[in-house]
Amino acid sequence: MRRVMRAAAGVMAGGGWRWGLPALLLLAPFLWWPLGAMLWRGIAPDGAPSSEALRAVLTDGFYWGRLGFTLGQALASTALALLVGFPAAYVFALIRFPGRGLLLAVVTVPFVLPTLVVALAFQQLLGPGGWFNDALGLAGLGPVQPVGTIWAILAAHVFYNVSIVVRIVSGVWANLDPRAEEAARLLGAGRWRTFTAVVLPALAPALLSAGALVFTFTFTSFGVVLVLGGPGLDTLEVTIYRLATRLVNLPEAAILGFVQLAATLAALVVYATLQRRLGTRLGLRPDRARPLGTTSRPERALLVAVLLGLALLIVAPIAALVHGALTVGASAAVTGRHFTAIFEDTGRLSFVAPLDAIRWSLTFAVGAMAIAMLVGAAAAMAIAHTRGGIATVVDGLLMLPLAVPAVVLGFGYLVTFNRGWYDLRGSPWLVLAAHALIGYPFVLRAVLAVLRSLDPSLPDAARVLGASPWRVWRAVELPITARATLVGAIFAFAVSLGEFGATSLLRRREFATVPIAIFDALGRPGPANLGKALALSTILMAVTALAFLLIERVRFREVREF
Amino acid sequence: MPYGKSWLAATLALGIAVTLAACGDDGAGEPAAKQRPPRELVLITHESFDAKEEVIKQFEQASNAKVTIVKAGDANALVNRAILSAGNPEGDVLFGIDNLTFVRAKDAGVFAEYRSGRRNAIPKDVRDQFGDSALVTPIDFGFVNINFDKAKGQPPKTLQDLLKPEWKGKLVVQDPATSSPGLQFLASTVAHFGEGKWQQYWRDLKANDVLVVDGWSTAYNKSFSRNGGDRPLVVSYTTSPAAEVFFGNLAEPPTANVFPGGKLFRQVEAAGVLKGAKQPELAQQFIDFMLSDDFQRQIPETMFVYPVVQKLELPEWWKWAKVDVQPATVTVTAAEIDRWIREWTQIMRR
Repeated sequence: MRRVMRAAAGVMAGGGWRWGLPALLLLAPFLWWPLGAMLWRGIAPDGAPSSEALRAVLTDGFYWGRLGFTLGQALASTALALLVGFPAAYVFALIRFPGRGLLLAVVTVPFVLPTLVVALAFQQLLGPGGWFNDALGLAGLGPVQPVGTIWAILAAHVFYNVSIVVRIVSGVWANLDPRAEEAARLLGAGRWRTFTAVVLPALAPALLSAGALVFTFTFTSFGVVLVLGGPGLDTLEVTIYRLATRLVNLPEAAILGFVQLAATLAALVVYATLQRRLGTRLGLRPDRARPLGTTSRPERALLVAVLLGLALLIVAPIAALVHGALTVGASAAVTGRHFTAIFEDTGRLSFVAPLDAIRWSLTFAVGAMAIAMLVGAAAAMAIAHTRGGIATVVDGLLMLPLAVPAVVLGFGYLVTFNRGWYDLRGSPWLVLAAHALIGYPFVLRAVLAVLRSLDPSLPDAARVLGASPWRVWRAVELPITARATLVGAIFAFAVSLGEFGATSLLRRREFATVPIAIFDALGRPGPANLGKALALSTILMAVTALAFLLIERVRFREVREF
Repeated sequence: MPYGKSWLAATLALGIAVTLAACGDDGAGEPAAKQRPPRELVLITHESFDAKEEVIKQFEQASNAKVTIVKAGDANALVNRAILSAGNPEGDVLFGIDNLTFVRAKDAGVFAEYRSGRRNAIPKDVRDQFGDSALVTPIDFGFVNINFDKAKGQPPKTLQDLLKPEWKGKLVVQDPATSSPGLQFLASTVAHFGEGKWQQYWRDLKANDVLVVDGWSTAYNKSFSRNGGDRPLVVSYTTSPAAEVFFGNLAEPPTANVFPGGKLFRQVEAAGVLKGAKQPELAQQFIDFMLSDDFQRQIPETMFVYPVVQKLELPEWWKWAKVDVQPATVTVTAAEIDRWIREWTQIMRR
């Protein structure tokens, strides 16, 4: 009891709870209530809880195997994303090379693509008649078939998630105070020693933040595993979906849902602990990227290696997609037919005008991004200002939306917002709420990574000089986190643009989004429909990349930019 | 404005509010109906539902109604949603319940009874798929079947042929746990081989390297050799070759139906008035309308299934969908279907 009191006192004393209010306003009605309703239906299908399903789950070796596989592939995916993303983050943070902004936008584009479309792109690259096997054939090597194996899942996870590492880590790296490194060099430390003793600890919060996001994302991976896996390669999330989809085994699905939430929380507690142990506090400085001309030879070699790696991993599948949109079912070498076909009104109810779909996609994405910025940045402040272990738990709980299956959320809305004045079924506001929910954790992670790198003496100094908390935030924390908020906002924007699971359950014809139109085309036979889906995907990618470039141009006039 | 950031956020929020609110005003600018404002009829259906706009407009004018369509996800999600909201429905009429999902919905009390005056236009054996229940009215039917890529030589002739070495690694099917056609194909093999025997057939299929994917879209667009995959045999619909002709403006289909089983499971899709509907009378009128010749005639080219009303004049290309199959009689309970899926999953797990 005394511990609880002390924890509560810690929360109040830090004043952090006030910053948590926006999150509370979003989470209580739009996550806890619907989620609680769904879990209760699962645990107590007849009105009273039963332990039968719990026993069934805990004693079935199959489920334990699924948990092991889910954990293993998530760790491997996270490690791979960090491995690929870290050198890329260095290049993007410290070298000003031509096309840097555009490449960064392209690297983030996969976020909005439906998994089946990505799977088609991978098949075009790696499949039996794909480009990769053509190249192997030219080299006299036999064809390989990675599609349908664990390797395809890992490759897709890196494809989707590497931009999280690149953006969050390079965002902090670009602002690291170079004087600490210079001092280490002056004291006689070698390049490697400087890196491991000074740079790496300073980047640890960012690396861990990005790692935690990638882990949560891949631990709960659904579409990639469903399309690229198969009955033997199921994550917990897919297993839950299989049990819940026919509503036959809701109790077991609910318990597996709990297991998944608990495992995600445990991983986040490990992350938060590591972050407190490994992070060092450093001053942050304005952007330190240097022009290409002033870089050393090893740096230029690294740049070339990173560009090549990204070209193979991310640009090639995207190119395969665009290639498909221009060639599927074409009698000539290239056709623009699919791009004109999507605008032709079929006179059927299923027709969605592409411009309307783009307008709605952008409306939801901009709205979700705005809410996510507000809620995420405030929640990060709440956690940073809360003392003691309770911050770790709250931090974990705030990541919950990423661990909740979209379908469960969608169903949850339908069984809760269903009566009287709060009968919101069929309202676009529910779509917006769902999108904001999965978007703000990105802002939270990105901002918290910076707040954790920030030397506490800065805000402390302001406070000693008599500044109010609000004033401290404006003068110190806001300018330093502005850029990180934007990094998170870009991901919030992107997950909203690509969201399908919850949207498909909440949509109306009047506000169909681009992913909805893509799935509709993929549900009909023939190259004309496949071509439409690929053309829509290409347009979605182009709009997304353009939006990224625009968002990154935003500058806060009265806030000094870091 | 003191802060660039909050100003930006406020502008964004305002922009969203205006756009979202604008959608609520839809139709406000149209001239009011002559006597009373149109009543809203909400149709709950699955994502494959489609119809010609002009035909729906006819109904709207004749009944002074505005039809709102709610697509509730795939066929499974549709039934789940209807069950979750039984008694407090999202709409007035539901289309897309079928003879494999009907029992679950019936037990949950989703539907209210209605016997349409046009009901006699539906063949009796089709109605009997639902035990001639008045809770639902059959609208269309279809068969899930193996399609063959004609560019790949000669197709197999029987289900047993699929176990031969020459067909090793050539077939792609859907997981019955996540896919409606996957479940229907499983039902056909149960009907063909019989209870207790179909399991061995699937074990042999697995040994012959059958590929299992999550759903129809993945199977047809990714794994089927016609679209760049390496499988010349795909579980699809008997009408898919005709659909290929329609969408591709072709003279004849690039794919063909293979009838290795003789008998096929017949999926009958039906509509029903939802219990607790706000507009029960309008919902009944809509069911009558779905049985009208005008609606039935456009079913082939919008949903690519067979209309229940016979002897209609149908489009020329629909001849490629004409098949001579024996519908298998499968009457099962929800529990039996779940047992099939469980056993199938046990067999196919790697």
